[in-house]
Amino acid sequence: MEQGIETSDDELVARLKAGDELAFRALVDQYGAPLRRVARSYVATDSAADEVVQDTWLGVLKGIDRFEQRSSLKTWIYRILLNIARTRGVRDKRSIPFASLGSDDEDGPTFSPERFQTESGPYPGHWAAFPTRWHDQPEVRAIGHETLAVVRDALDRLPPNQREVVRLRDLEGWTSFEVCNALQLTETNQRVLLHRGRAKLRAALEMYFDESMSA
Amino acid sequence: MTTIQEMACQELVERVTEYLDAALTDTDRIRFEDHIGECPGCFEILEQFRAVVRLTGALDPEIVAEVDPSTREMLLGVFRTWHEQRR
Repeated sequence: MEQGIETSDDELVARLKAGDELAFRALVDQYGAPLRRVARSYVATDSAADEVVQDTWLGVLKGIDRFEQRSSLKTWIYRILLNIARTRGVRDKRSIPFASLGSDDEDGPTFSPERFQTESGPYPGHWAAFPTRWHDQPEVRAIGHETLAVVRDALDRLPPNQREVVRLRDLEGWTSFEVCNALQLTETNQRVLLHRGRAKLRAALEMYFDESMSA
Repeated sequence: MTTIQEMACQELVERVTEYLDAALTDTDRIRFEDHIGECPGCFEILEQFRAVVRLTGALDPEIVAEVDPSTREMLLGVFRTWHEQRR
């Protein structure tokens, strides 16, 4: 998470309201790139992402007088961005290049029940066979290009809400509190989406490592 | 006297994210950690989830992390107009 805010939210908000151009400029410089990155995951093109970010800044100026600071300035700005980006993303119907990995409203276990012993086994609910260790995979330890490509591909194929939460938590480094606030999710919902998303990335990596070991 | 029921592998793997977020109750955290200490399969899964978080965090941002100067100028112009209009 950016630790870069030396000025407090209170001060920054007051300066913005007073028309302090330097304060606005600092905000644009600090948040412009991360906002664009998040926007880009909703819309199909770079220029559409730019438009979303610009509309976000317009939304910030329009709303700043009514902003009551019940959330942090950062969370508030992201909430504006996400509203615009989601609407825009739906309109553009951002196409997902590959089969998507399930849907957001699925339930049920993230690990196949076949991996565990049944009631007739000696230890029901325990591993039928232990998962293969990743520790011996040099790619995991050294973070290789191919491994990252597998993760990125699987991330792109997650259902939208899972992708959103995994991105913000694990890629952008947000806390669960910030994500809940920005996406208006309960703690529990947020965690379910995060776990399901991570579980699919894990499964994608597992498949990739199993294949490369048997190759 | 209460006995703490052991957490089965199948339950544990669904609760890894809760564990990593320190969101388990004390009882469940103890069940989780007791299990991890004994079970190499579940210990491995915990490590794999940690690896997934680390790898996701290592993904490069897809686009250059800089604000385009002309965009900045345009926004500052918008800001000036906004400020003028609300005086």
